[in-house]
Formats: sequence, structure tokens, C-alpha cells
Amino acid sequence: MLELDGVSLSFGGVRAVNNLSFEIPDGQITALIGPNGAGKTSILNVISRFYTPQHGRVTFDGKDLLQLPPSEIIDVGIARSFQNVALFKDLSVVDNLKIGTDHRSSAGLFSNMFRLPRAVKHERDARREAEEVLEFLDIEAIAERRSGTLSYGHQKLVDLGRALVSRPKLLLLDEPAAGTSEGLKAWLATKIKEIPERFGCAVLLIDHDMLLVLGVSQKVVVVDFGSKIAQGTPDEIRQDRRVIAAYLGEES
Amino acid sequence: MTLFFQLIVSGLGFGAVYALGAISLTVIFNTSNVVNFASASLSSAVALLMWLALVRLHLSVVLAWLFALVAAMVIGAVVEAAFLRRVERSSLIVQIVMTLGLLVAIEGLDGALYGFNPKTLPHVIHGPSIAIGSVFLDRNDAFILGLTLVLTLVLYLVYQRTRLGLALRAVASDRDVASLMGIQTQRMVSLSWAIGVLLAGVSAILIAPSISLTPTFMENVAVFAFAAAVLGGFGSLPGALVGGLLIGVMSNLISGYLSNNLQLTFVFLMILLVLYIRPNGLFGKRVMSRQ
Amino acid sequence: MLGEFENLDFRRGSDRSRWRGHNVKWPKVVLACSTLGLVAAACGSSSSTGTTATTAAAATPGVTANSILFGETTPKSGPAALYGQQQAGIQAYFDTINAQGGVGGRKLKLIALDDQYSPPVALQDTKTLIEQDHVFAIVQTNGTATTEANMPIYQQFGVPVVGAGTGAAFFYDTLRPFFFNVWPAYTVEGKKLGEFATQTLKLNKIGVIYQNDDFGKSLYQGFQSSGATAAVSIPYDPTQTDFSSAVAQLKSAGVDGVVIFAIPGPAISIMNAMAAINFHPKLLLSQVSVAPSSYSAVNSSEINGSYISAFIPPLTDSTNPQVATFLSAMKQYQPSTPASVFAAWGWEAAQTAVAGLKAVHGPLTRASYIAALNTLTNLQILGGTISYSPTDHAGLKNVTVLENINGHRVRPTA
Repeated sequence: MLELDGVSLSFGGVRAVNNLSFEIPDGQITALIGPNGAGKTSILNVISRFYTPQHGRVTFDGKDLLQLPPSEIIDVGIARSFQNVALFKDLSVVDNLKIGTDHRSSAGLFSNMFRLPRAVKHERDARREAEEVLEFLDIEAIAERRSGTLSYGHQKLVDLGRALVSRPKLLLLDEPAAGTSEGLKAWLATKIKEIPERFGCAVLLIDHDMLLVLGVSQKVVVVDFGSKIAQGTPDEIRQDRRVIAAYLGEES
Repeated sequence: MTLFFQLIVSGLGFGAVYALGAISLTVIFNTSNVVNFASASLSSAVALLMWLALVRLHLSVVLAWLFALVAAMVIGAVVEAAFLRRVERSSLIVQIVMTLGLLVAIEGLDGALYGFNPKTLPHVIHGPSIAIGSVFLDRNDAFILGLTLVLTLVLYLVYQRTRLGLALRAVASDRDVASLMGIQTQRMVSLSWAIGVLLAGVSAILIAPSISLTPTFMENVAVFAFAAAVLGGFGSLPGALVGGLLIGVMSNLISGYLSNNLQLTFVFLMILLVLYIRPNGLFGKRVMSRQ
Repeated sequence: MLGEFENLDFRRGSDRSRWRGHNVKWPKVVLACSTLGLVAAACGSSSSTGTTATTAAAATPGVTANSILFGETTPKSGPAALYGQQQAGIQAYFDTINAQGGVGGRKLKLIALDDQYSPPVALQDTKTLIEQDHVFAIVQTNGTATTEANMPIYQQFGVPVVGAGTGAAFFYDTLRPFFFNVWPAYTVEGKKLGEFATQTLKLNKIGVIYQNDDFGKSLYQGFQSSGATAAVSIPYDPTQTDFSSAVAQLKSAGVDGVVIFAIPGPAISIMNAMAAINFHPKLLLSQVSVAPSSYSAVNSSEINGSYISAFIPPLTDSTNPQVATFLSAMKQYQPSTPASVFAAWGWEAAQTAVAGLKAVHGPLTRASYIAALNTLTNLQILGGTISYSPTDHAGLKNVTVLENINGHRVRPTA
């Protein structure tokens, strides 16, 4: 589905991503792990087109992603959550989610204004889809709260919900559990596991919480200093010496 | 007692005009974060175009309105694209200088085109004033008040109940995130300038028959509208409406019972007082500040 | 008068166009400078101490064997551009005199500049007229603030000024030897309206709304000096637009007449606000309030039957010989400019200036000209009768009140 082929990205001589190639298969959860500063978020930013790599190709369903501006990434079916939460703080939770549904006809916003019945139907559909997601994430109770007033954990969930509600083919999750409580982390892991089946999409998950990652993913790609150092099933990765070394090295 | 009620009723007409002006400022500020000091000259320009269409080109009333309204939206979008977009990442002071520059430039341009001699626009609604007991309500004022309420309601519904409104609110809340969400933020900013100048233009067309139409005739009105927006908590539509009506009525009462000369002074003293007690204005939730 | 606009138009400083009646040829100017031996000082140096009226007759600025050069500054662009029509009135009168052979064999020439109603621009214009163009005298300026701004430079060079287009007390309270008013003082105008309100219209209760500056206060002061009292008096700021409260107060006080001492814009707003609350008292306005352009901005039924002070007689009255001469000269020499009240202002200033020239005995100098102006007695001009003396430069003393009927100013029928 998504394929990175020989991607290299550097910022003023510093290599953030180095000749990286991997593939995200359909309907599965792929994890991208690595120590802090290994280049994980840079890779995600390449996929969401915030960064343009100097070398390599990124294709999605055979389409060359690098030809698209960032605002059209959502239109081809890629949605993402943000490591540091990027919600509309002044808007309610349900409005934040409704914006997630907007890309599907954003060009029709104007004409939509003048066709009331259709506008009303759109509005109803958007609300229903938002509510489904809220229910999935078990946050219906805070639907009308202003998102800026929520706890960090709830904001992370709303951020995830907004990505989900756009019905992507590929969902990019940037440290969805970072900074949340242990209890929420475990609950989140079970929810993420359900996503491919429930929403029919592939997931690329970034995290450095090994427990979370290895517990939910089918495929793991390990990077360090921008290069891939291992790739395999969670079981294979657990036994990979280089991975253990990278992590031990970091944590000692 | 008649005087008291007459002051209130008369105040509502101008109050509605201040409210429209304040809503215009609010709509523009919300999406683009720009305080549009050029509002006075932009709205005068629209009223002058109305005059051109109606008096010079002898268009029918409906056509003239259509012409003026479309022109207003085009002017708003063009001003945004040609001038404000260039300074959208600049400092607040640069943007203030830009809108002040536009204020002077557009007035000068209109002066060159139309001259500064007072012109007249016909009232939208004709006929004698409506008598309510011993108090009189000007038909034109009644129309302005009604139209302002309807426009505010429509705008409120668009903002709260439509996807377009949601997109506008999203851009207002966080332009960068909106862009990440696939919202065409540039288009939303253009649109809000178009709507903003439209509303200010409508207010100018409606009030022009009561005062004299010149390239600078909205300056004084714009000062009150600005005050109304601040009072309402810059950013809130209901706040702008209430702020405008309140200022229209209060300035009339102040002028009627205290001193006509100190109208503006007392209005601003009142605003200082409100801001002292409620720094975000009567309806405000966001403080006017920039990082 | 209309200096009361200036707070609206300070900004517009661009596009300063020069309007010349006749071209001054450079060699002539250079010649004038060199004769005086003041080439360095007069031709552009800012440290110029100027020429005084006592300079030898042969070197009188702006005067040659066959011409006399006058200067004029009025607004020809900006909010008060209509007043620029004064230039046409002056030019028409000069052309009339020139057609008769000029004064003492000298033809009258005019350099007219656009001051945009802005005091700094007016000052610059006046410096140009005096220091570069070397005009003999100034005929007609326009506005309270602009003329006040020019005063130091008139004084410095001792340049005679005939006609100022203002009636503010500043120009009447102090006698300046070189400065001759043509307009009646605002206090005279206000007094006349006061008398008309109490004696002719026999109003019982009068409300006054006046602009809170020298212009409005001078008029109000004159009104009070007539013995009339205002039951309600409301000052307003010149930028005010919402007068609904002011007129509600007047209505609530039950006045049967309202005197408006305002510039045109606010006057329009006031009259519209009165209509809005169904308030139709007798209206009395200063001539300043109702420039013809402001008629068009008020529903004609509002202004119909209102009274307006005036010193220019009805310009429709061609049985008045002064009016008839003015109209035919305008038609002959200035066909593209309407024979308006503004042109009439210029015309009568030119009448006064020329009468002074004709009264000069001996060599024409600024001093002899000023002396001659001081001798004018019972001079008939378009706006009435003027007499000057060394202690009286007050201009016209008589103001009449006209009635607005269907857009024309006529003698009141009542």
C-alpha cells in the first residue's frame, strides 16, 4: 500500500533519514520504532509531506506522494494524529471531529451553502460519523466540551478520533500514548488493535514504548540514526541483537 | 419620559449600524487575526459604488444592490489577496500600518474619483416615521435594525450549523492545524474578508441617507463600531451585536442627559470601565493578543 | 469660515496642483529680483528677510508698467473643492476690468493656487506666491484655519490681503493694517439670525445647535448679542454623525425654531435626524451650513421653507444690477464655471481689491494701496456696502435672511 524506497532526508548536512526503504501492508498495523532522535517523526513528516526528501520515492497505492502538497494528503486517504496534539482548542470535541470529515468535499463548501437540504444531510452524516468514533473511543460524554479545556489524555484521544473520522486508508499515529497514564496506555493498545478491522485501514504506529508497540503490531520496522536496522514480526524483533543494543544503549 | 424612550429608540438605529460594523471587524479578525482599520474607507467605497450605480448609472434598485454587494465582496477579497496576504506573517504593527495605509489610500482614491462634496443616497424604506405613542421610530432605522438582527442570526447559523462555518471557525481557532486538516485556509481568509466588507458596506449604504455620503463619512461610525467590537469581546458575534446596540443607546443617553460634546469621551470611558472589570469584553473568551 | 473642515482633510497632501490664471514669465521674475538687488534672498533662499512695502516704487513686487499681479489660494481639490469656484469669480471681474483697459493702463493678472483646505498647504502656497511669484497683493483666501496659518507670512512681507472667506472673530477682533475683511463677521451674521428669529418670525422658544469651535461659537455669540436667548443650546464636535440625541432633546424641550450653526455635513445629518423623529420646527441656518451641494443631500421637503442668512443677494434676481453684471461677466468670461455663490464670493473680493487700486494716488506701492483701501467709503459690491478706515477693516456690515423655496434662495415672504 505505502512504499518508501531509498528515502534520504537531511537538514543542512545532518542526515535525518538515510536511504530508508520499507513497506506498509494493507489492513495491518506496522510499527516504526527506534530510540529518541532516531528519525521516526521525520519519516512520518515525509509521508504527510511536511518534508520533501532529497532522494528516494514514496508511493501510495502506486501514486507518487511526493507530487502532492500537504493539504491533499488527506484526500488520498492518509490521516495522522500528532505527537503534541494539534486540536482546535476553541472548538468543541465534536466540531473537531466533524472537521475530520470535511476533506471529502471541501471543494463543495460554497455550493453547499446554497443547497440547504444537502447541507443539512451532510451535517447529519458528519455528526453521526463523529459520534460513532466518539463511542469507539468511549468519549461521548465530552462531545460538547471545548477541546482546549480537556485533560491531555482526552486531547490525545480526540486527536486520534479526528484522524479516524476521516476514514483513511492509512492512519499515521505519532506516539498516541505518550504522556498518558499507564491505565490509558493499556486501554489504548486494545483500541488500536481493533482499528484495522473496524475502520478498514492500515496503521503506521510510531512509539518508543516497546510494550505497546510489540503488543499491537503485526510488523515492526526499527530505525536508528535514520537508517533501518531491523524489520520483522514482533517476535523476531524481540530477539534482534541490534535492536536490543540500540535500546539498551539509549537507556543506559 | 418621552425623551428617555426617544433617546433609546433613536439609539437603536445607529446602534445597529455600529453592530454591523463590529460584526464586520469580528468576522475578519477571527480568520485573519487582522484588526481592519481600513473598514471606514472600504465601507464608504461600497456606498459610493451604490451611489454610482443608482444615481449615475440609473440602475434599478435591485440591480444597484446586487452590483454594490458583489463589488463589496470582490473588494474584500482583492484587498486581502493584494495587501494583507503579503503581511500575514508579519508583526502586528506592520499589519496595523498596512490597514491604516489602506484607509488613507482608499479615501484619497475615492476623493479623486467622486470628489468630497456630500452626495445623497435614497432611503431604502420611504414613508413617515412610525409613531409609538409619543416616540417616533424612523422607518429606515427600523429596517436597519431588523436587517442587522436577521444578518447576525444568519451569520450565526452559518458559523454554528454549516460545514463552511465550521471550516471558518477552524481557521479562526488555529490556522496551521486547519491547513493540516485539508481546509483551504487561504480561501477561508478571502471569504471572511469578502463577508466582512460586505457587512460593512451594507451598514454604510443603510446609514448614508441619514448622514452625508463622502469618501470619509464612515470614519466616525467606524470608531463607534470598533468600540462596539471591543465591548463585545473582539471575536464574538453576539458580543458585537449587543456591543453595537449598547453603544448606540448609551451614547444617545449620555449625549441626551450629560453632554452632547462628550458623547465619544463617555463611550470610551464606559468601555475602559467594562474592560477593567472584564478584560475580555462582555462576551469575550479570547484575549486579543498575539504570540 | 469653512476652516472648520480641516480636521477632516489634513492627510490629503498629495497632488498639489497649481492653477494659473495667466502665466508669469520667468525673465520678468528674474528682472524683478535683480532690480531689487535681492536675487539671492528672494529667489529661493529660506533666510530671505523679504521686501517691505516701503521699497522704492519702481521695485514694487508684482507691478510693472502694464500689469499688476495678484495671488489667490482657495481649495480646488479635497472636501471643500467647490469653494475653488471663487477663482472664476475673481478672474471674471479682472477680465471685465481688463476689457475696459485695466487700472491706470495696467492689466490685472491672477495666480491661483490650490490649498486643498489644508493650513500647511495654504502656507506653502502663500510663500510661493509671495517669495517666488512676487505677487503684489492677495485677493481672497478661504477658510478660518488656512488664513490664520498664512497670517505670519502676510505680516512678514506686509502683503495686502483683500478678502478672506471667513467671518471668524480672529480676523475682526484685531485690526491688522494690511488685512481687509470683505465678509461680514460671524457675530454679525449670528446677530441677524437672532433678530430674525425673535422679531420677524416671533418664535417663542428657540433651540441652537452649534459647532464647538471658533466658527460656531462666534455665530452663537452674535445670536446672543441680538437679545435672543436659546432655551436649549447644544454644542457638537465637527466629526459627529449621530445627532438623534441632540434633536430629541430639542424636540423634548418643545422649541418652535432651531438655529443651526454647522458646516454642511453635520447640518445635513441634523436635518435628517429631525425628520426621523417627526420634528419640524422653523429652521434657521448660517450661510455656511447650506452650501448648494448640501441641498442635494437632504430631502428637499426638509429644507424647503427654512431660512438662511446671506450677504450675497439671490443670484436669480437679475433686476439687481450688481447681480446682472456678475451673471453676464461669468457667462462671457467663465462659461464653464457655474455662476454660484462661491464665484460671487471671489467676484466681490475682486471688486473691493480693484476699487482700492483705483483709489491710489501717485505711484502704486503696497503702502499706497493700503492707504487707498482705507479711504474706501460706501463702496457698492455684490454683497452690499463696504467702508474701510484706518481703524475699521471689518468688511460688509449687513446680512440679510433669505428663504429656501424649492431649492432657490429668495427674499422671505413672511
